[in-house]
Amino acid sequence: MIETWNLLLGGFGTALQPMNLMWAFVGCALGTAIGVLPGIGPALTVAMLLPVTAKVEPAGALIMLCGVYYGAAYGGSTTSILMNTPGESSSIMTALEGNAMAKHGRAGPALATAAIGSFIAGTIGVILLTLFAPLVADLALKFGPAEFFSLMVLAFVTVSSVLGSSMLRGMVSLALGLAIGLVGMDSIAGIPRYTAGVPELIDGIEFVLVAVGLFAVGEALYSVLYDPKGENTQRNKLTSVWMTKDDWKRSWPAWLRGTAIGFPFGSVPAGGAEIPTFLSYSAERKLSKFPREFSGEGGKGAIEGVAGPEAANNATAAGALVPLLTLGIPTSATAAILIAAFQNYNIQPGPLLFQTSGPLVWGLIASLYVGNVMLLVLNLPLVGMWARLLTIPKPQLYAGILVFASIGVYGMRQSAFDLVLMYVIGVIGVVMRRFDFPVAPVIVGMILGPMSEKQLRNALSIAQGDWLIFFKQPIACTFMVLTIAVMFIPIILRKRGVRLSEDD
Amino acid sequence: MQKRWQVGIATFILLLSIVFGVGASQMPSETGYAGIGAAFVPTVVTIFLAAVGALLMWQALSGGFRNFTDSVVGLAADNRGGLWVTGGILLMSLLITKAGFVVAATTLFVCVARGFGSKHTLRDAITGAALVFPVFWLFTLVLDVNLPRLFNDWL
Amino acid sequence: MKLMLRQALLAVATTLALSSAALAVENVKFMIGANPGGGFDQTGRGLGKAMIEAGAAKSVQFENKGGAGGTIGLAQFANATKGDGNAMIVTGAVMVGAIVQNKPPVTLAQVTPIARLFYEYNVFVVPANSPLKTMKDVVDMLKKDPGSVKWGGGSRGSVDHISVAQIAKDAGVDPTKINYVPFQGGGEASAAILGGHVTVGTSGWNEMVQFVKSGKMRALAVTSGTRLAGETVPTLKEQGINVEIGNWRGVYGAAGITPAQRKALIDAVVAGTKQKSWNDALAANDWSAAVLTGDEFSKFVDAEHKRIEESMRVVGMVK
Repeated sequence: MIETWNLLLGGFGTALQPMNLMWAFVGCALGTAIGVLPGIGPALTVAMLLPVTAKVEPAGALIMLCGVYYGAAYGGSTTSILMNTPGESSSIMTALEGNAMAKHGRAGPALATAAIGSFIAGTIGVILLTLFAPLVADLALKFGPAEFFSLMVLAFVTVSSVLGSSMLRGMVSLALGLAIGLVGMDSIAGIPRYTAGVPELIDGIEFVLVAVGLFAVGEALYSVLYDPKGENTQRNKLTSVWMTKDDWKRSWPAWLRGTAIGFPFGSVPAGGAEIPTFLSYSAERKLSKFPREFSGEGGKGAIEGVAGPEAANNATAAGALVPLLTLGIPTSATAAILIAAFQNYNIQPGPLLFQTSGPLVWGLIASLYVGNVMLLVLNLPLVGMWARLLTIPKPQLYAGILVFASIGVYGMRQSAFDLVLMYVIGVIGVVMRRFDFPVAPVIVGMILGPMSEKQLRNALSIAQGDWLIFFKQPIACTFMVLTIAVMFIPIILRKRGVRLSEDD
Repeated sequence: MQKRWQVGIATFILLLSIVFGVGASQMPSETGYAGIGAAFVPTVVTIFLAAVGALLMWQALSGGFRNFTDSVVGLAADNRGGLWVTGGILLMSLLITKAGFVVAATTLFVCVARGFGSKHTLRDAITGAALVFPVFWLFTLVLDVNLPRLFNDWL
Repeated sequence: MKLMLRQALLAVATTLALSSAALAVENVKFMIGANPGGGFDQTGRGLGKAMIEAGAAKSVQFENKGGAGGTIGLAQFANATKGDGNAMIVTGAVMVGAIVQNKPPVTLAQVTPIARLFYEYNVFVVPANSPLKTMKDVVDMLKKDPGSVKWGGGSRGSVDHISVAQIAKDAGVDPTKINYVPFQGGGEASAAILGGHVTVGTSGWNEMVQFVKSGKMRALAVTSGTRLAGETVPTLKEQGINVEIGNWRGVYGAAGITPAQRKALIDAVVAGTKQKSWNDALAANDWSAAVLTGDEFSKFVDAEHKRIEESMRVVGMVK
């Protein structure tokens, strides 16, 4: 422990050098900007900045790239809350409650709880990374296809928390999402499914396209068709910019729970940030003392529904560094490109990294602490400014939202066809809004469907067709038992007269 | 009117399940060691779609969707505004490769603002351009992403 | 009008190229059929840098258009650059595989072969605590019960998958009976191997070497014809398995360019491959240089196409 402490202090020596502080700042600022823009993610940004590694010394460049990676996780919440435009799959849950809050004049607290929650989760994540990285990495390797599939089954069950006022219509949305997720090359058998011979469809339908179409374009079209004057929302009435005492009290536990969910799942290979945010959201929804405030219940947006998933998202980002640094295994696209950056300096992340490049790694870890503080300082003052953006008159506000949405969609593949597709999906979004079909389950289905199918088939292939595999392996079995508990405990409680939420 | 729409939506879901079912039936049946192949999950999704579609149809025919109150009763759709927004997006998709990114996105901004009732077209154009330029420069100058341009990296 | 102008420019360019064949290519435009960061991208950017250093190109531009194994980028490239002597696209075994698999409307047949650059070889690994010591152990296990050997690697139809199918065929085991578990990306595959979720794993040597060096995995065989430079891991052939397979990459020029334009591009690329920065890139990524130009390269690609198609037919991926 003392040894770790000394190494970390040495790391701070590196990280606090003025040049490295500057690089950290550049990375954080750029990362925040990238996070705010939908469609352009941290992976692309880090890749584009890779040539920088040729000119800058290793510590500075890696600190900057990690700043981009971290900053993007901070900035991702902004467009979700303000514009209902999740730019990354990990900020969908944030959009649900955050945007509802923004529509009721509480954009400030939503953004603040996201920023502070990100800071707390990020910092705790880095502390865990500092202390337990090798241990966590060994545990993470125990996750194979069977474990992943069981985890996804659990995530599927928790989807019920986003279904909205009618179970049936929520299920229709989910089915639609699953159907969309099937389009494209089947990753196991390597055959195209439902592509109708269109090469653009072989890689599947991009999630950002559907999310932006359903959320942002759908909302803009609905708004212009049925509510052009904005009589139905109090978007422009900013009640407060800062969090109230009550907001703090409700955010704290959510931040900690989000961190506890995010960090471990961030460290498992093939994890990604989506599932932890889904799990965190549904945990908050189930545990909240104010279930009526959740947007799915037609409420004004519950702050814990923003605090939890945002914390989970940032803890995932820290967790993902565990296998990256200790094993050289990337768990996300961004992490994969970070490895390329290391390799440009002939540094190989992996089991030998701490021995071969100790000072550099500890400098990098120390810079994560610094970067978290920097991001908080950078983002908190912006909260007021972002929140005030919503006081822009409706015509210009929606014009801006649509411009950003189309930039994101076009920027992904540079295809004008995608813009038309985005519009068509937006029209579907209008119909869904008009008849009260929730849109979030579509995205959840799109993301979880293909992931779980892949893991299911790989798990069964490894078990040579034995379906009981999911109950024979301890970790997988734990998730299955948890799933069953989540499904049946509410039913048992209801039978005993305890009413948790209404269904049809 | 309401009922016709609701039946229409249910029909759409049912049709979708037929399309997916036909697709699933044409996939190779080879399953390897997993015991399930490429057609397994599509079949499950097909059944799921058919089931929710049938329930939806039943609700639509027996008194309408449950737990549903029409939030926009009495509010007529503002079709002109919708046309402006639609036109803006479609115009952008047409213009983007011809006139460059900045012009296309600014056009979209102006059209959408017009759709929502803005009367200051010139001011909107300036606002839109002021919004689009920094983003364009971030993409082209900093990140080296090729966005369609009118002349060079600056426009 | 635009077309006429282009043709006029083309004529000028051709005469220039004819008058001095050694003249550098002006502004090379690379199409990269993958998103930034991957193998195609590294190849294109590395080659572009080396071509500038060699003075064979004044400037280089890159356009990334990922998707469908590079065939989406290929389609755009073939349509947009007809007759453009400065345009090139990065290609490789992955793209040929995608063409065989998906049969897109635009194939490599429509564009002009320039040069093959290098091979990237695979390695077969097991977790350090595995009882399997050599490829012979693996093959014995495979012969006894094909389903019990769970092979982990990249997507179906990739070099990883085809190499496994060829090993089975060589051992007299029905290639359709292999238990191949595809993972997305090297990271997921190496985690599954380290965690012992699969029996044997295969991936690019460069991705696995760190685990071998740190003792977490044991390398059983490499897929190259001879041992990799400076390494002691035996080849498949040394262990009596007659399989040699690698993931090659190369570049193609635009459709309909003149023989002179083609020669200029070949010269420029070859000049680039002689640069130090290119050799550094080869060494850093464990790429084995294998330059092959012009008509020999196009014959090679035709042979690859047939070989990959045959392998995919054997494992039942194409009819």
